[in-house]
Amino acid sequence: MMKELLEGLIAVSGGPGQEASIAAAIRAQVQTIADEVYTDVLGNLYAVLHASHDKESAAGEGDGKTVMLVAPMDEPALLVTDIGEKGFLRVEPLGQLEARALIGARVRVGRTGRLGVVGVSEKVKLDDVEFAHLFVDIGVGDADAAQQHVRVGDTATFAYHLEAQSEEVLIGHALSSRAPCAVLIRTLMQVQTRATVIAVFTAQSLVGSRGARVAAYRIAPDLAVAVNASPASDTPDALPGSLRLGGGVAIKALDGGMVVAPGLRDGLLASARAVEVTTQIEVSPRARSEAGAVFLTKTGVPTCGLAVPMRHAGTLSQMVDLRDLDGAIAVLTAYLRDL
Amino acid sequence: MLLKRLTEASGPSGFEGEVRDLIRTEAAPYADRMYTDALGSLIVETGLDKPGPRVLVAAHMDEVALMVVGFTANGLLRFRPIGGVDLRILVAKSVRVGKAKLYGVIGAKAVHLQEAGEREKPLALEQLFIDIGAVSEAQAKEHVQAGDIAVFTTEYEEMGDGRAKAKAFDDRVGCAVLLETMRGSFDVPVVFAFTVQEEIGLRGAGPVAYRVKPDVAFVIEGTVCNDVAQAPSHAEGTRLGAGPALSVVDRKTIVGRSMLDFLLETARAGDIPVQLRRVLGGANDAGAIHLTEMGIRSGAISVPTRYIHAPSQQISLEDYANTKRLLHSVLVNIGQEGALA
Repeated sequence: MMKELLEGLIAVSGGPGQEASIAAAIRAQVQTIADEVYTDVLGNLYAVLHASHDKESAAGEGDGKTVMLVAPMDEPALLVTDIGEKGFLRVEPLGQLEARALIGARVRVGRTGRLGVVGVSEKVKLDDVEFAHLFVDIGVGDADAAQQHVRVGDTATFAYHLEAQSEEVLIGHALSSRAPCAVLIRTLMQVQTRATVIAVFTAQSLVGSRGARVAAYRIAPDLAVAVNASPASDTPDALPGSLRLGGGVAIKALDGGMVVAPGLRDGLLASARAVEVTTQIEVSPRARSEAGAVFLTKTGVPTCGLAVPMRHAGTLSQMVDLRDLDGAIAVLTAYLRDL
Repeated sequence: MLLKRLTEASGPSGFEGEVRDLIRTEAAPYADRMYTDALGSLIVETGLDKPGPRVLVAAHMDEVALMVVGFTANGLLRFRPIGGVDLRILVAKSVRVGKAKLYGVIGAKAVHLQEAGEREKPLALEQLFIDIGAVSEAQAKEHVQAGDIAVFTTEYEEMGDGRAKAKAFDDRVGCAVLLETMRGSFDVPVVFAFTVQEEIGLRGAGPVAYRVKPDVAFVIEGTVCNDVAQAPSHAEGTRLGAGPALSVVDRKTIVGRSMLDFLLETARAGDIPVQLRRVLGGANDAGAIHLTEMGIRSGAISVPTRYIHAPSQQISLEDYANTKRLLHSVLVNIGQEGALA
């Protein structure tokens, strides 16, 4: 079921600032379970679950509280900045992309979803390749023909789909956002809590958590839990980090945007122990999540986080382990129940 | 002449007073209410009694400049740039220093005295100084103190085929567009804001947006225009004379498709030429405005400006006129039902 959900989410494109389609796909998943679903100016999608007061016990700590769950929705993309006379497109990156790693990559562009290939000027050495040297070949002869498919300001997203390496391990180009989104969707489907839960699927995360910032301002939650995918460091010559693929859901201690208060971190750990889920601790100074934008909002928001370990982050073949995702759903569900 | 007075006024980031005074006088007859905020931005409210969406239109008053930071024993001034100044273009330029607007020139070793290797490298900040003609540190300090600012001396002048040159078109051209536009009458409340400290990190615009709380915002800018020798189409950014440039994306803002479509449709209906700003680099006040509070729908319209951030910037007066036409049409259309569907 998780795999099918991810397959569906990754089949829909959504570059930064162009999240309408992926937001619609997520809306279709949460429409029937959420009490309220809406979007905002930046393109964030909100799914609200009002407190379930029919629970067994009387008043608890979660009563009357608003908890924000936050996961990024957008994927790295190329922005079309120019259409040349011969119909080749010039592009700039939206999100962390390295120019030379994209040579030969397949993309879908603009409004018709035309397939294109990223080409490179042959006058430049591989080490020196920048985005100005790249173009997208959509197989048309001139600018007019190109205009049928794409306009300046449209995005091109990467034309790959989800593939399973094994029963547990999945590979996809947009898992860094779609895996956290899937964790939130699955959690919403099963959660029972005394708190009001607002899940935010954020727009424009890759250009600096822009959506998360205005979403946190709108909600001003009592507590926030960020879910993201963070680089695993269990590959040859990987930069130092604490995460291992398949090592369990990671409880965030620190990432590039925030240090989690020990008390909040321990709360997540206690919930994980209660449901016997394997965890690891995340210390990822180079990784970013939405937590860093959320916790500084207004008078400050108590914020903690879960991370899904991911190999080959920043490439078109991101790798996650379904067991880590299942762990994230279990821990998040238990944590919200325990509030 | 508005453009002349605005561009020749001195207004580095944090020192916008002279420009602000000029704008205040110009805006007074059209303002329902006018005030400055704590950072120094000038806010001019019009049509306060009108129904409809509250519109913020912003242009920044500040320009890139230099600040005096020290003295040499023989009376020369050490300086640092304020905002994005290309150090390579500074040598041999004249400046006006401090409140007294003393004449100064940015000096360097004469070409005769340079070694072959020296001529191949741009001068570093440590090799540059401002010479105000003082003979000693003590004498220089009688006229100038650390923290004083220096601005380029370029005078506004019309030239060539409907073009003009001046310093600080970025963004006095935007200020001029706002001042001329506020003379019109619109069916919506419009707040015209002249912001401070844009060039050093979009600092003035955020507090303005927080105070004004508009439903929608438009930023009027001078923007990069690299349509000069050897630039391929995709490296131009914008083209001089091809009309106001609509931002699609820059380092700080992704403009929403509905905003872009509204601007394109407004231009089409008004038969106003426009172009898209085809480059990611750079940013403007929209970057701070659109992330304010719960998010504010924001667009940016720019006058292409060649040699931006340099002493002699160049615009097309036709682009300037068309930017005014476009903003006027935008303010007429924005109140209509479903304008920003």
